[in-house]
Order: sequence, then structure tokens, then C-alpha cells
Amino acid sequence: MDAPRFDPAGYYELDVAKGTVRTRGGTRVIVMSDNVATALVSAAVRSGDLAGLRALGTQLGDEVRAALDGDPKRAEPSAVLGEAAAVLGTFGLGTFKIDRWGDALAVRLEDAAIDDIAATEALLEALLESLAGRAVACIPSADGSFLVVDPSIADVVRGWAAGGASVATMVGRLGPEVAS
Amino acid sequence: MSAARIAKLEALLGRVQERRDEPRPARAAAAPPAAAAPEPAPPKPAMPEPAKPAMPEPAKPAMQEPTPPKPEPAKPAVAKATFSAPAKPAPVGELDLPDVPPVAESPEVEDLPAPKPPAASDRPAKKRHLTPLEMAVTDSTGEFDTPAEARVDKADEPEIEPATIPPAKPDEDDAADLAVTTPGQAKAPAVPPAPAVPAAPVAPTSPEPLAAAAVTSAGAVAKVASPPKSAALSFGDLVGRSVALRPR
Repeated sequence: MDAPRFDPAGYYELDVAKGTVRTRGGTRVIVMSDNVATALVSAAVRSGDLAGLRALGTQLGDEVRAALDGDPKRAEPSAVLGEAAAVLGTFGLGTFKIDRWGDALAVRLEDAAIDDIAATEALLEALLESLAGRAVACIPSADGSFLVVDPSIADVVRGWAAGGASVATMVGRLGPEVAS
Repeated sequence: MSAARIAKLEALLGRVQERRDEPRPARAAAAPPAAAAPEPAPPKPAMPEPAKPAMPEPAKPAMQEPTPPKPEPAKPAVAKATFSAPAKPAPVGELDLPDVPPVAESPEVEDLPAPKPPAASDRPAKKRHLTPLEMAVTDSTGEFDTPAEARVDKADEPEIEPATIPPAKPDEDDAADLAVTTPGQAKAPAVPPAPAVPAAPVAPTSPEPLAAAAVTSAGAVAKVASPPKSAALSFGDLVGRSVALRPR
């Protein structure tokens, strides 16, 4: 079974006369070097304002939804992952990957243009929330992956990560919810 | 009848009356002559003569005296004075005394204050509630006039102790009681069954890449390398399972 293909041809519409660049969906974007983007993102992270990065993640999710035929929640995981990885790659943000650790999911953004953990966390959370339609928390681990957990236990898992726990260690400390 | 005769008869009547009214010991003394007789009375003196104050009746002077102590024992008055003492609660033993000493013999009665009008002593038939001290001395019924036969003997009542119920101790012999033993055979110690320990899920030690999109070149995206193994699971299901995990 072939995954849906992402065709980047014609994704950007350049209007040199107007000095605009728009995506296929009509969203206006700008092109800048990663150094400038990193500086801007770092400034936003220092100020604690991650709204712009979350907005970027939501925009990427909307792009993926537009590329898929139906709701990403009901789509095959490979299809969603393929579209998401293609969109993020087109934006030059890096390679989006998903790892399964049993029932746990861990997402990665390899060769990321934004070399900031908090910014990447906000970006991936917004992307997954847009695709899955539910609130999630992406907890960064020592090995560069982000463990997808419920926001209610985010502080607990974040404490594990702060202690240097890898994704395997954190997954080993999680289990199915026991009905009380 | 002449006037002289009438006067003589009156004098004689007066002497007879005097002798009759005189006490017997005094009668032995020499009777006063006719000159000591009362003055000649008016024409109708026969009737008021017995009421003269010369008669030493003991009751009438006592009635006219304003002093409160009365010579005769007044039982209701004593009872009133005892109940109307508000300063100190009367001991129950005194109240139950059947015979009350007369006022003349009790010097305390004179020292008691005068009974006040609204005091309960004017209502002898009404039941009086006991003070807390009286209730502590007597039983808790609070009634004085309960007949003795109507009272329930405390000894006959089932004694209810207000002791707190001790917490139930776990019966250590429950398991041993269930074991069937024979005489002379020691009970075998009951070995509790080992609790069922749920099998701990084995945490994965290595990740399983869900899919990997290989970008060959700009403008071209290669086929997804690893198609999903479980087509039944949607992307939402995968995210939901991960979010449902909780710390152990």
C-alpha cells in the first residue's frame, strides 16, 4: 500500500511584482535564513511567548489536514505521518518522525532548523493537537525525542526527564490507567 | 320593787358572777367584799359581763399579739419556710422527713426570711423541679412526689453502661476455625494464598519507527518506507493510547 504522495511542485506561489510568497493554501509566508529564524525564536522563548511557534504548528497541521482526504484522527497513521513530514520538510523545519514505544508515542524532529527545545516542544504540541484533535504534551527527553503524554501528567514526566531519563526509562515508568 | 332592792340584787349578782369567773386557786383567797365589785352597771349589765377583759383566756391575747411566732405548731408554715429558701438547695433528706419540728423548737425558723408572695411556697400542690445538685443527689427523675411504689427500682432495671464499643479486632483465628481438626491434632497454620500479582507489562526497550518518509530531492517525496502494520489503528487511536498512559 502506497502512502499518499506529497507533491511540492507549485506549493509556493511567488509573486515577484507584489513581493509576496504564498502557500498553496493561500497563506502568506516569508523566506529567511535559519540564523535569523533561530534568533527570533530564541528571543520569543526567552520572553516566554511561544504563541508564534504554536501558531506555526497549527498552521502546519492545517496544511496536513488539507492534504488528507478526511479527518487525520481517522486516517491511517502512515498517511498522516507522511503528509506531516512532507509539510514540515517543505517549510524547511526538519525531518518529522514518530516512534512507537509500545503504546507510547515519541516524536522527533531531526536536523531541525530551530535549535531550541522549548520552541520545538511548542511547535510539535500544536501540530499533534491539530492532527489528533485533543490536547497533548510533548515532553523532551535526553535523547532528543519528545514523549507524547497527557497534559495532566506532564509535570511528572517532565520531572523524570529533568533527571536525565531517556524515553525508554520514562516509558517504563508509565502504564495503563487503572480504574479506581 | 324599790330601787334599793334592785341595787342590792345587782350587787349580789355581781358577786356571784365574780366568784364564778375567778380561778379556783384565786377563789380560795378572800373574796373581795362587795365594795370591790364593779361599779354599778347600767340597767342591762348581765350580758356583757363575761366578755370583760378580766377573763384570762389564753387564746384571745395571743391572737391579738402582732408577733409572728405562734404558739401552736403550724406545719404548713414550716414547710413553706423550708421550700422558700432560695440561697441554698435544701437537702433531699430534709425534705423527705415525715415529721417537721414545730416552730418554737426550731430556732432557725425565726432567722428565715419572710416568705415572699410569688414564691413556690404558695403553691404547695405544684411539683417542683430539682436543682442540678438535687438531681445529682437523687435519681434523675427530678420529682419528689413520685410514689415509692411507682418508682422503678434501679436494681431491677437492666444496667446499660455507656462504655464505648471497642474497635473490632481482627479475628486471628478465623482461618484456623475453618480448618477441620481432629482431637489431639494440632491445627495446621493457615497459609494465606499468595495474592495475585498482575503481570507487569514489559516496557519496550527499543522504538519502532512508525513510518519514515524519505525525501529524495527537493520537489519529490519518496514512497513511505514502512506501511502501518495495523491498519485498524488510526492516528487518533495511537495518540489516544499514548495520552492514556499514567505513571505506575
